[in-house]
Amino acid sequence: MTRTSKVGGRDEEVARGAGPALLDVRGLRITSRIGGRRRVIVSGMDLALSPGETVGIVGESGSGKSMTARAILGLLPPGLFAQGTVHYEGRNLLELPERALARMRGADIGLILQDPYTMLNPLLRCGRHIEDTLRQRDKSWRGRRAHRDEALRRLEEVGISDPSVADRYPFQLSGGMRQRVGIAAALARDPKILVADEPTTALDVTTQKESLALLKSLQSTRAMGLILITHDLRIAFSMCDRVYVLYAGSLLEVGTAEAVEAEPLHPYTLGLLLSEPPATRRVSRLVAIDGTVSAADDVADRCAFAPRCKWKQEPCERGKPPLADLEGARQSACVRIDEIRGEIGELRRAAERPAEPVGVLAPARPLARVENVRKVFEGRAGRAGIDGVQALAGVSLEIGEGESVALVGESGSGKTTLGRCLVGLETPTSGGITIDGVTASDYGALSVQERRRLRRTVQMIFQDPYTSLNPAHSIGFTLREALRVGPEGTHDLDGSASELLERVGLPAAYLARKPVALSGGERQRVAIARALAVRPQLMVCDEPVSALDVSVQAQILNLFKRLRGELGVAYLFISHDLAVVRQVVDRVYVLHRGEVVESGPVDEILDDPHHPYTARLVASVPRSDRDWLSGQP
Amino acid sequence: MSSQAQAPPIDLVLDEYTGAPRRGFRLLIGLCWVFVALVAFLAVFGERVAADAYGQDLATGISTPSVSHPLGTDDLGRDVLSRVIVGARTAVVGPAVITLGAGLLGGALGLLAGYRGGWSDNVILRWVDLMFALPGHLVAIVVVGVLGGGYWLAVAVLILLSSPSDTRLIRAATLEQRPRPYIEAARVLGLPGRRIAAQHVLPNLLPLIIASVFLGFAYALLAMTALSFLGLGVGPGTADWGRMLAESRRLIFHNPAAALAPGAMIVVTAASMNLVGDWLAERLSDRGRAQ
Amino acid sequence: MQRSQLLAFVGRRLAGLALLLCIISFGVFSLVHLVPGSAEQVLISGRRPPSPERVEAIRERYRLDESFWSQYTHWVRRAAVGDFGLSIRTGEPVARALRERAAPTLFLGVYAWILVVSVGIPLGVLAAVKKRTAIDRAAVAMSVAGVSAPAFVTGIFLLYIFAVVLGWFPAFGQGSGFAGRLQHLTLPALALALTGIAPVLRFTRTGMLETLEQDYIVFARARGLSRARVLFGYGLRNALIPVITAGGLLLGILLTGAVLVEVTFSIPGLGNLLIEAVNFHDIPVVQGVAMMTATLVIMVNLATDVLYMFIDPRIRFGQVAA
Repeated sequence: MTRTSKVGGRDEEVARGAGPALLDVRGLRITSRIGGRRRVIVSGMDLALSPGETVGIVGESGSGKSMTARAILGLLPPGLFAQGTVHYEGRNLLELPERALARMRGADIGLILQDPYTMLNPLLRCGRHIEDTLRQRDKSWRGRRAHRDEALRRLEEVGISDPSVADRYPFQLSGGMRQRVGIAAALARDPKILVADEPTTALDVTTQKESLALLKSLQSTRAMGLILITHDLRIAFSMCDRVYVLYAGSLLEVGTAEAVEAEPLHPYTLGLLLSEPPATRRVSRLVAIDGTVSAADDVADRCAFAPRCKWKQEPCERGKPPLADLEGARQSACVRIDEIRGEIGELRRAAERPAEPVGVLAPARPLARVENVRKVFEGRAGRAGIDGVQALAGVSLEIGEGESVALVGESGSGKTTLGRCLVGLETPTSGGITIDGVTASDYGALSVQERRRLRRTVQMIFQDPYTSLNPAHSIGFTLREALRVGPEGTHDLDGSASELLERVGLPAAYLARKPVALSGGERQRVAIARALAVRPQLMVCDEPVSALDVSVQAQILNLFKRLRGELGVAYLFISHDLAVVRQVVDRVYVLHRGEVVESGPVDEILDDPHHPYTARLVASVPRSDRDWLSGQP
Repeated sequence: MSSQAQAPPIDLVLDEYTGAPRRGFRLLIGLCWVFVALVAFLAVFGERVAADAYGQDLATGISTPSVSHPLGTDDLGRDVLSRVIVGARTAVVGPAVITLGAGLLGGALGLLAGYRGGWSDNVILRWVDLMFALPGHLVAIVVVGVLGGGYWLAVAVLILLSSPSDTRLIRAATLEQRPRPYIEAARVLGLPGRRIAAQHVLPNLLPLIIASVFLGFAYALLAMTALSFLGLGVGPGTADWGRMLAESRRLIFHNPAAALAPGAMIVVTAASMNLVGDWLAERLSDRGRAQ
Repeated sequence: MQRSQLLAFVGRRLAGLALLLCIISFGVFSLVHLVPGSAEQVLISGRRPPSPERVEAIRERYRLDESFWSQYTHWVRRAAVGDFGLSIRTGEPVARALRERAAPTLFLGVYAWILVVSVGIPLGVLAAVKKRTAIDRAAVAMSVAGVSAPAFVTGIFLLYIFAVVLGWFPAFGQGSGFAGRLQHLTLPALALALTGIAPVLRFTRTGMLETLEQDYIVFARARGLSRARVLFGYGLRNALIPVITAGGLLLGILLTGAVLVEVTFSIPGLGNLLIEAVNFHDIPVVQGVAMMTATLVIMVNLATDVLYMFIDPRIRFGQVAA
């Protein structure tokens, strides 16, 4: 693989940011070998990092961003191979033997991983993780005492002042705390570069903001180079000096955070920016990118974004377009950027048009009413010392006919439990649920007719599209089965199933497919179609888009909006993401530790939160501006 | 109890890094299938192939392999090859019945415990825990021995003793299925529990069940031959691999084949079943199906 | 709070094991009534008609005139101090027979156990680390052979190769003195160990492979920890958890294997004693062997629990069920 960048010499220095690069990645190509077949995972990746600089690698799933991070440290999983060069202090890391690489890891380049819940050894106390790293730094510097004191100091550095944390096991700590311990361990040998691979994706929004702020402050006090890998453009913009936009294994755009945000110079970057639902206002329709993310191997020899690009022309598919220099130290891999630049700008401006007002609804006839519902999960029967957990502490809410209502909160707030109570997957410990005139507090106690009526009134959409459909059955089987219990009866099941697919934007040919052959977004569409089969009046949607990539998320959100318009179905939208909520609901209930702390019209709650918890949630929604992290927690 | 069936998979077929089928493995699995088919054939037609399994020839007595007796004769002058061939019957019938019986009994209990939960799960789980705490083979030896021995008694006792491992397997797999969104979606649609169990849980357990049938058979074969070896299964003089091994053990200096041949049959049959079971388990798993 | 949780855990396990012992003892006691024929007939050798005094003595000793429950408690009280009555076959106390026969079995068992642990675990680790190499393939092949070959078949083949063909080891018997024992019991121990190595190797290898794929291994490597620390401190320690929980399983395999191997090699141990007693319907001896085995099973279970608790802090803090 040759370098794709045509620039060289002085220009390049400029293009790559100020000063000589601390880390210089050129023409990185990662391939996997499966049964003798090679597959491209990343190709033509260039990256430069100056001392003290923060760069972001932004990409959706399948972009190869995590593998790029692993390749830099020589930690690719078995079966994956890297070519190209990764220069650090005059040495090509890709050519170093494992022994020399191991000496460098942690000392020169550190890494933190995505999931704080799996990052720490479950059998070791937290302090030991830091001490283990320290022991590598200075083998002569022995004495457990010294290491321990140093470990405590390191914990303090990441904001853990309680020394007893060092003696706790990872499973005794929250995700945010584990993440901090992980950061302390990764930085114990004071590396010059830290690679952070989606460090906050697994955390709650409020914790995410705190963790990012911590990373940022550690980076600036240590003048450390930071490579932040994220799927969230807003986070990249607020944290990074420069961003690298990666898509399906190809680098599409490079530039300073301000410049890229102000004017994206690649159709994909534009698409990403437009797909991102704004947290501050509702737009009538999100501008989604059509289609689904291609596999890197399928687009390795052309513009990776061409299959989904509306400006695609013949040259886009003729070969892999090189990253070309543009003014202001920017680079773009779009061959037509000069022609379409004006159009991109226009689209960007069009998306900035004022918010669509949320229709103030006349009080609708109530469809579902939840009154003072409590839910206590029992500890294991007969076991001493394990108490029940109270998930819901007396929650009341109301959903009108055709109304869209959100239940907002972080993990552990009880929002999912309440949704499950509504559809009878859980039974409340006390309190009442009435749906369409039927008492639905205990589905088990209902008569067969009442239960059937209820099932046809309320349906549920689940979070994970990959386990939402039974892998053993075809899409047709799944939909026909749902139709059979619906009000339409059993005549022409195939026709009805095709109609359902059409309604959710899928061709009828999908009836014969198994779920394995579908992408995440397509599966979620089928799951929606299955729920629609019984013509429900209320759909409980449990984080229905949180597992999807941004570009697909926008499609599904648009689908939800369209279905509501066409069918007048009401939603109970369970989500942690206020930006998503803003786009689809009329009213919001904010749930905190099993209690509703605030409720009201979505604009009022999000624009002017009264409860401190709601205010904290609103402030935690990632924003592109640099003040986001320095703002109040 | 079913210790071998509990052992974790060994990634025989597919390379765990690349997911590609291993080279050279097809041939081995093919041979295993052929051997399994051969043993099954002999179990049905063995007595027609080798009619001479019980014909004694005290004049000849024990002899080493020769043209007329490819594996020699035992101390009563019986042809070892014929006896090995005829022995396939007791080696197949009993273990097959045990696998089927234990699978039905254990599987049903496992499905019940896993899907229904509640008190039935509690009771069944206690039962399984109890059985797992006991060394199953020893219990079989004691119970079968004290009750006076016999082939079908051994089969019945082994059904009872091996069913808990099937219960545990199916229960765990069912429990794993239960909270999956597609099962919950079916519940929200209001599908009857029996339909959910049959259409949504069972099809996803099928690969596991098919594989465990083969592994369970291998295990039952070892258990049955062990009981026969100890004189607790088939009656004395029966052409049964375990029994033959026990009776020819002392002849090892005179005609080693008399003891080694039935032993080899036990090992090769069990190994074929184990390999085929492992192969199926991997092939039918999600990862294998994706290939 | 931590200590109380720990105590509660240990208490729960002890109570469970005590209950298990009760259930087993009840089953073992019931054997007398399981055998066809009346209890007197069972407990007195049936070759010649017994004298009325002898019948009376037996009825007295086993409290056959009292209720079933009373018979049981009486029997348990005696069994608790190792008194299982007299052997029907030999007329000597069961306890003496147990003592005499225990030595070779214990020697065989410990010998095999050492082989299993010292070969199975390192080989499993090696196979996992040297994945996709000849070592790994050989280890896997060995484990397939191990789970497919019962101890008596392995025994016969070892006997043939090493005693008949090569003549390195004696074919039968237990030998005297430590050296003699070692020589006589090497082949049996090997036969026994091979069946035990297979599952241990599998559990270790799979556990190690799964562990090495974990994030915390990548994170440990990313911090530059030494290979030994990553492999053993982070890898093996986590990988051993399933191996330890399989300890009870291993015991079952070794116990059954011991019986088969003792018969194969004509070693006068507890296994042979059990088979002789079972064939002779010598119920007191069967009961003695069974209760001894049950006690061993329970002790090993307890040891497994303690070890498990020692290795995995999540157990100590009641986070996951044992």
